[in-house]
Amino acid sequence: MLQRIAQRQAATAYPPALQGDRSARARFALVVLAVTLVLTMALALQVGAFDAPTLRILMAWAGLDDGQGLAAVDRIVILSIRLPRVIMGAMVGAALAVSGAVMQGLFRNPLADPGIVGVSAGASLGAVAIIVLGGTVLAPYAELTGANALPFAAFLGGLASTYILYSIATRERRTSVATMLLAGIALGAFALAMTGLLIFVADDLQLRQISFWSLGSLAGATWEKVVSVIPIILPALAASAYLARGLNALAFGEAAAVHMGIPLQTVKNTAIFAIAAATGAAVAVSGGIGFVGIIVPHVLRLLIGPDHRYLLPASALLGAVFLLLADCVSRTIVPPAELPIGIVTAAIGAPFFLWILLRRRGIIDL
Amino acid sequence: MVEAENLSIRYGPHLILRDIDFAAEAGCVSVIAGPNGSGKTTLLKALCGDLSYAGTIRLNGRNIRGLKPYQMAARRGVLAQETTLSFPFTVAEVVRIGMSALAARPDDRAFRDRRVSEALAAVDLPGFAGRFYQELSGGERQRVQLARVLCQIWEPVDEDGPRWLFLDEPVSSLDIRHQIGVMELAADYARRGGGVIAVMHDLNLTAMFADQVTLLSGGTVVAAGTPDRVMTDAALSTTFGCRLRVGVRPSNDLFVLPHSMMAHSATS
Repeated sequence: MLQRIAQRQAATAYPPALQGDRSARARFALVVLAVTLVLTMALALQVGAFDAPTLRILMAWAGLDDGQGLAAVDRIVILSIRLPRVIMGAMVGAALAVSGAVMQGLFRNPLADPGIVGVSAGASLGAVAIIVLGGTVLAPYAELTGANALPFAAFLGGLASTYILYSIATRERRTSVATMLLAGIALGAFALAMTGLLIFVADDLQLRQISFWSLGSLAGATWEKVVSVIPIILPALAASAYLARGLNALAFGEAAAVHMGIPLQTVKNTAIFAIAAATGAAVAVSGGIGFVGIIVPHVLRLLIGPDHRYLLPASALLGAVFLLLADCVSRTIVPPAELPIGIVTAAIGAPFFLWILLRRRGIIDL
Repeated sequence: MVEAENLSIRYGPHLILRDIDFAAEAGCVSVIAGPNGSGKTTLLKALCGDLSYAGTIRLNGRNIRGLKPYQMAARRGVLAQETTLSFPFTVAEVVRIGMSALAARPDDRAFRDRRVSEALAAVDLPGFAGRFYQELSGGERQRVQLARVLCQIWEPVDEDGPRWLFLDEPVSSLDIRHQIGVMELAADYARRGGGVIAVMHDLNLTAMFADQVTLLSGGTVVAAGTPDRVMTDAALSTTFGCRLRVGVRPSNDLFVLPHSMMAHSATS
């Protein structure tokens, strides 16, 4: 039904040179999404328990305003609390949506998502391991990676689980969706058990750290955290740009992708790296935020089609917008307290996921 | 030229192809025929570079072990028996993806759009560009896939030599009009200097369109050569295990007439 509406719109709203070519429409959508992201970031800077002359502070920050008459406290709220939070929210939203889109392309299934198949759990295990063992067993690693220790550990945890999952689910060049989902559940449960074991041996200070981190909130955003995840998120987003053509060809199956000239192993390895890095970075700074990776690519496929050359950048933009809006809701719905953002995304995402499942009944072949 | 020498392939303990030699010339339609399980598709997959094998396979004189996927893709397109597609692409998008992975991809957008339209017209699907692939019938999907493969290797010959069309049972899901249409398209590709290697079940279409026939049985080559030499009553009946009569039409083309196995046992 929605597909037919989208098809009719494709034929009427933006008549392309070739019928059935949605690329002009996709490029238009990218522009609209980019503008929307800027507006959403402005909104997210303005929304909150505290009113401040946001625009003037930003202009003063950029050197466009002399800054006279601006209170120091306003400046701190906007520049040291809200701005890093907004940037972090945009990066995490982009990372979550892109990792979902890449994983769906790799597994050739629109229901694959790092949160569902245990990759996020693996990343969490990595993060908890560094919190609990960073001072003892993993001390050499913690010294080596410094401020990036936590995001990097989450990346490694995500990498290990994605790699294991893909190896289990793919045999004789065929990826079984049933095996993927079931193995993902098992892997996630195992990672959860290991995390539980670490929590069991953790001391009080570490427990506090873990529980703050695992709430799934952007509240703890600082410039240091922003800087610490940039070296992991940016390569993931860059890698996804390389993946677009490969994932398009992979939609026809692995053999057909090779026949079309795709270096399959390189594409797979890059995809696994991108999924793990993006998930790891998002998990490291914000704990568990679910369903962004399912909702955002799915909505975009209905609007602009599944061509990954447009789907991946559009997912990054819409993911950022979605998470910033969810963060605005979580900050304002029960003032002065903050609802964990993971609750907001799950409340929207879980019914949405079920709706996709029901709509596809009879087509899904487990 | 596509050649295989001393080619052997095993799946686990089973030897699917035993030490066979195979050759196909550019400018010809080469058909691989044989009963179920004789190794036809396995041979084609090996020539595509899909399988691990013992022996030597050469594509235009170059050992395919040394060729990268994009180098192979520039020289040959492959139409599989069946292709599943996991996301809702339109027909135009499916066909254009055929060009997207090529190193020498045409840059001009209008040119690419024109080629997509030409390819769809070539498989008798004009006006299908805006349809969703997943809404099409099996035969229409197969022709869309053929259009995608054609886009990948559009010119049958370029400065590096002939290009190749590898077809695995290309007409098995098509009605008779489109069976003939697709075979004529393949024959035309060969006439313009390209090479065609097709796995076929239909012996009449094979007799009509093949320049060379390789008859496989039990993983070995039973006979290879022109249809009038290979397709004899005795060779076909033995290979397929049923009674087949080969006749000659006034135009000198061959046709194959199957006989009921029950009638056969009753009269003999």
